[in-house]
Amino acid sequence: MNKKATSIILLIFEIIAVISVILITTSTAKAYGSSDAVQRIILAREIQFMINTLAGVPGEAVVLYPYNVSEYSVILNSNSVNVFRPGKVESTRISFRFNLPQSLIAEGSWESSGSYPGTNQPQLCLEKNKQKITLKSCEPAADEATTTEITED
Amino acid sequence: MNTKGSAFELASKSIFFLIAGIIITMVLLVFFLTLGSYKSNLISIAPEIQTELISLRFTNSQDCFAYQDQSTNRVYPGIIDFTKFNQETINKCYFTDPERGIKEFNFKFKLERSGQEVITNNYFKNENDKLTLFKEVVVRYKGVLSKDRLIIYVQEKI
Repeated sequence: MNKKATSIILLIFEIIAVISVILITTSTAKAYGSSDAVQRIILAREIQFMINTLAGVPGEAVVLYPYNVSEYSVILNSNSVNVFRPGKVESTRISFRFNLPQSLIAEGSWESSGSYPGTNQPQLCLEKNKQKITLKSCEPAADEATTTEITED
Repeated sequence: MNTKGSAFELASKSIFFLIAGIIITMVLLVFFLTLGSYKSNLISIAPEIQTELISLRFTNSQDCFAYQDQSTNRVYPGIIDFTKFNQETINKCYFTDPERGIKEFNFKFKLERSGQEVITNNYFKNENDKLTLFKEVVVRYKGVLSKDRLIIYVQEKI
């Protein structure tokens, strides 16, 4: 193999190596930058916190999740909360465990199915009623002004 | 001479690629480790907040230590029913998985004045506590109310 051919082959390898490194680092950084996984973790964790808080409320209570989570689905049971993208359950599932008092149960599922009148907010709600915490879509508020005020906070 | 020069250049290129390969691998490793660390920093939450939220139930819920008037069913948050301050109640209030529960938060409760102690099922007395919470409470015993302080010792991931 002559000198010129060797140099050209090595140059091609160098270029391929550099392009590969650039592509790998860029795509990885972009995946982190889109923060989809982080958003799912934060949503699951905040629901876990809300469940723990509701377990400490002696009476009845309703909590409206104030952010847009229409891209995700949520399943709640008495031990854990699961957040995932619809259609990609296993590859995107984030799960957080919690421990409820024995007499309290939690259940429900949520998938974006609408929004409040005049807003783009989805309607994820947690309701504690007697000895049960339910994850569900919120009932539209009777007073729209009140709803807007709550969602803007 | 030409053959010698060509062989030398090929050898030097090989060494260059070897060193470049090692450096690029190290750079990639550092890059991924930095991203991993960044992500865990982004989603980390102080254990004080988590335990504070969990411990709300201990003084506020009728399923835990909070006093409940049996005639009206009204619950009095912040008032501890001394007759409920026992192992049976805490097992119903906060019970972690016997096998995996050591990775979760586990608690020891102590009423400062009476010295009474209760622990959750996966709290180990010989292990160090991660943090301690203090709650000013009122204790109800035989109809008499008295001020006390509930000390909550917290363990996590033994």
